[in-house]
Amino acid sequence: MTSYALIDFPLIDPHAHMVSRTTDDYEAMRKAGVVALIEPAFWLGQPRTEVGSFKDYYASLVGFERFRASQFGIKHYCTIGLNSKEANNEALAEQVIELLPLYACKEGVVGIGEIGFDDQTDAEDKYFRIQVDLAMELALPVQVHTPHRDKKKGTTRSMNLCLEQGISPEWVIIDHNNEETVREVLDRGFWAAFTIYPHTKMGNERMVEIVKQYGAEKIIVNSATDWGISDPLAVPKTAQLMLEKGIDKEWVKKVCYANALAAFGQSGQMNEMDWLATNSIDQREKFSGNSVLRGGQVPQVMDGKIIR
Amino acid sequence: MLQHKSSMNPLPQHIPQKSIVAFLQSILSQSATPTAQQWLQEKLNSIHTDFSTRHFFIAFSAAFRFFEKEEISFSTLQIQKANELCLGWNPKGMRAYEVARLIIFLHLPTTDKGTYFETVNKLFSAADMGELVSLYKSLIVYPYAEDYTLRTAEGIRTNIKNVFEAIALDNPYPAKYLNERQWNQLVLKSVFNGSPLYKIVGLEQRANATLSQQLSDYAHERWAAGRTVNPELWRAAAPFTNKALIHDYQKLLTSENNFERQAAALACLQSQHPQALALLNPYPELKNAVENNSLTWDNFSIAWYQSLIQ
Repeated sequence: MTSYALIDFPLIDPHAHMVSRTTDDYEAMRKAGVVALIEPAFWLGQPRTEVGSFKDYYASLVGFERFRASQFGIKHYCTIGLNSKEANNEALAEQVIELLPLYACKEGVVGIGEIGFDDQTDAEDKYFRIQVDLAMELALPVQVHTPHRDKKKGTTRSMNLCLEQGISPEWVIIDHNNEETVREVLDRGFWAAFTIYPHTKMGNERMVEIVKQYGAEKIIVNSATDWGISDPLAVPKTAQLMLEKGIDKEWVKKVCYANALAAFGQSGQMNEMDWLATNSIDQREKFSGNSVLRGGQVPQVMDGKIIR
Repeated sequence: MLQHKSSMNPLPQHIPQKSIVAFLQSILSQSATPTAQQWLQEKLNSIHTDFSTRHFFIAFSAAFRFFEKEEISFSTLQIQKANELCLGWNPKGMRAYEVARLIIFLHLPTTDKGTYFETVNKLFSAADMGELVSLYKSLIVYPYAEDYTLRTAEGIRTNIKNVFEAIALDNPYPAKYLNERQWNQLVLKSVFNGSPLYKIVGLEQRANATLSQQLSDYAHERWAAGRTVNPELWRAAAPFTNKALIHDYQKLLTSENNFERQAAALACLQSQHPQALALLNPYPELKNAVENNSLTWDNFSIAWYQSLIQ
């Protein structure tokens, strides 16, 4: 069993695709200290062919998924956008772009995302720009997915594109960084997010080295946990490892909590009081606190082997 | 046995939306910041002069960014006024941003009913959790209120508990407009969800024989599985007490659980069924408590929910 004994502060996972995860994951994340998470709109593994599929997906991000998270004491936020892969279906992309303003202004939407490049096609470039413009219009941060292939060039190109559209780099979170991309991202004033994801993106031992080398300013850790082999506890595990390896606790708090809050909090939609006000008290008291007695609303926590 | 009319077909009722908007605006002016009020006024003007669904949706969503999230404390006079404007309407529990949303919603053009519902349906289908709560809370004051029954029945199917409770609890709309099947689904789902039944408006008035049987069947299923049932359930069942229910009360009266015994006593007296009343003879103290009003369904429910959270 992994121990999180050294973590005595709250954590945020600013990139987690919870629609693909179970309630066990929510429970484990909460037990490991995650108080809030951000779910970027992304691609579901299977391409969508109708605009209605996007509509219902966005609705679930601001509806049922938010409720599901709340049952486990986790505050759920999201970013709304058209992902890079599906931007290549232009006829569909046009309709999806029309939909975005409907969702982007909703409560708890903390940015436009995840958008960016996959294959670095012209269509991807076009819809990336349109969405950066929308973010500026609505005063929302942008969460940028950088490509798996031709990553270094794709990351540079993403930042160029953002600056060309006129958005200020402190409003942009460049995600899925590695040892090869981090320096340029930080030097140009963007937020540098790292996804701790087995086999493909970052490992947490490498993450420790990055923080040792670059410090804690503007660096953010996330899990990007999704339908693939991924780890919803990547943020707590990385925080624990950093502390074990002697990284200053204040630094760990920054990269696993405060920086994500500062970056996405610029939306005005994410406030520390959202979770501090409710999570410090027993769930049962919360429901009776305002004398609205709601029977049966206490989340079931199953400890034993017997399921009743 | 008490007999109630189980089917209700309310006639379309004239609801004075303009007076309601004026009332809501007076409520907001108590606490909202000048910036918020100015923002709202600008949005209303643009809805009025240059209506576009996109701006309407964005204004409806964005209201919560400008107005308070806390519940408004309404005066008794204001609650009375609301009820005068629209019978049964009780704005208690509304938050300032929800009042603003309702004002925006009531500015939706209504002249063409088809266009009106096209926009309304789009608004509901794209709504987030908080927006659905706001939308369902105030159904009773909407134009064409009688045409929202399918929408309400759809809302009852939600798995999001606070959305469900926005419809089911402290809301006069379902009792007034839903048909018997829709109503029964609401009550059964409230029982299943563990929502407090005493907060359902019209629970006793809308009792019916089908529902009583469904509730008794539900209790039997739970008992067969070794589970307990919410004893408030008997309040909804009692007005149509039948033989099966008499057996249920008999079982409950011998229960070790005090709440179950109390619920059975309340149900027996509420039913006024001779056989049910006879069941109480061996329990004079329970019978007296109900008869002298020291035990009522409302104080029973409050004590029951209190016990659950301890």
